[in-house]
Amino acid sequence: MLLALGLTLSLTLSFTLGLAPSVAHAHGGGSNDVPSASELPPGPIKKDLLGIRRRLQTEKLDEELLERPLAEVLRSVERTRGAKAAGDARHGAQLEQLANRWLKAARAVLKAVLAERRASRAATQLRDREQALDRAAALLSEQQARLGRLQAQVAAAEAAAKKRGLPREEGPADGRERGR
Amino acid sequence: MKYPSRSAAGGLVVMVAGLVFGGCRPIPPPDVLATIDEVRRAPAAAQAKASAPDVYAEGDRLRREARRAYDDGDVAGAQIIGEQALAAYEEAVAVARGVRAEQRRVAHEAASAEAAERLSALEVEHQSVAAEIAALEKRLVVLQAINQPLGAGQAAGARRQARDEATRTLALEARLLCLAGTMLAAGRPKPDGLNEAEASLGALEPAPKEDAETAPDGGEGRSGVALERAMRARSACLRGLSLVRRKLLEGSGTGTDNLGGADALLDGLGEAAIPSARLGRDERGVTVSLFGAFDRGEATLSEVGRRQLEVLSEVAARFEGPPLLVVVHGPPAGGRNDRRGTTVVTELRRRAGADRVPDATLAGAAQPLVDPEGPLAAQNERIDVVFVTAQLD
Repeated sequence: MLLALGLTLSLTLSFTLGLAPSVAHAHGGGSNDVPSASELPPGPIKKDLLGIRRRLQTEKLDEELLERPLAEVLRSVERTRGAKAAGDARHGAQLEQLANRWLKAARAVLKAVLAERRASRAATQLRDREQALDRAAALLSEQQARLGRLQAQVAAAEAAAKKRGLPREEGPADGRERGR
Repeated sequence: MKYPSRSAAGGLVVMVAGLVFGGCRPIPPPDVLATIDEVRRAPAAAQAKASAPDVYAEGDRLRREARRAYDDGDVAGAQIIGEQALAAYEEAVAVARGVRAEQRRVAHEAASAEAAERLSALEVEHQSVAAEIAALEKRLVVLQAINQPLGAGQAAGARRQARDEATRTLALEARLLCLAGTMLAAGRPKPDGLNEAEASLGALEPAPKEDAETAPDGGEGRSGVALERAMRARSACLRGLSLVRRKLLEGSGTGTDNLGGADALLDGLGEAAIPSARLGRDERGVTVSLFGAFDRGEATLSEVGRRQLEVLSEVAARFEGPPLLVVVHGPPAGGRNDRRGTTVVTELRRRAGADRVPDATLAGAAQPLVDPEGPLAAQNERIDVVFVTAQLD
């Protein structure tokens, strides 16, 4: 009886102290209750966050592109608040650094997305120019063919004119006579 | 004294052992540390290591710091710093994406610029071929007009118009050939053939259009006569120019050597790369056609025009023999062409010598390069500067 009780107690303790993910989300890391950007207290993080949001709107980009890093910023800010409220200044400072890290990541993603858009536009421009080049080359080929045909026509007309005889030095009457 | 039973003692032992080996078991590392290792092994991180080494190194530093925090028993700190490492790796991956996109943009833009350059070259070639086609079409019209028997029935209006245009072109060519001969003779006695050719130019004034239209044969007879006269005048002037050349060559070694040949001059002009200019050669010598030399519709030299004349003058100074014939092409516009001609002549005289450059000849619209009614009609407005050479090669 006592043997069974000891075994049960020890297993319960093991789970409680060892296997439970008590630190996996330090200071509210697992909480889903995060504020929105506008609800943040004034400060550089809020300013940067709102700045990134504005840029997304200005550039007409989907907010989903930065969903993860921005959500992590908000979550980190909330965890910072919790840690500081609990009097844990050291981890509070680390969480504030974490918020800033995610802000940097968000800015880097935004920069990458904009660079990709510029690259895509450059690719489109290149494709357009290459198509224009193909058209111009085709047009030139047609023109050169036309030029060749004209050269042949002119050569034939010149031969005919030579055969007919070039006008002589006499007066205008001569020309009229020859024509009639 | 009563001792506990054997089974109770066994239970106590198990409980103590459970507390020692279960309850005091060390806290496992946060999951984030394992996640970091997975992230580092991903191909995107490997690319980031190459494209964004600084940010990636920062991720590595934070990873080590997280591990150290865990070893020191600061599990919460290990979790937070581990997450910082994850954020740094994510930043590195994003920076690498940006770098690759920038590389693609630069490559595309370079290729695009190259394509634009090739396109521009093709357009120049296209214009050149178009001009050649236009010239050949004009030539064909002239030849067809020549080959068409005069008075063979009532001429169509279009045919008469073609003849009139051909007459104007031939008359202009005749005048320019005679002028080239005179310029080349330069104070020496002109051969009789050239004097006779110049006399024939007086008979080239075409009949007024109204007269032609009201004539009983629709002007067919008149236009045919005018065409014949223009052709004869052109032949005579060409013959006159050839006579001058022959005389000059016969007297070579007596101060005429420097009148030069066309080949060397053409090479020199080609090397000079005059902007927006087309080089060609004809019976007169080497022709440089300057496009866009003047502001549109104005008689003010454009920026390109100033550069064109500067380069052209340098070449003219280098090849100091051949006289320069300036021909202004473009529909008459209230003295504008005259002013344009004066500007070019003044500039060339200042740099190449006054005695080499007579007053400009106004060609009007008699020698269009392209259809005067077409979209490229502006190309007909140009300045031809002809280096009248003693030899054609």
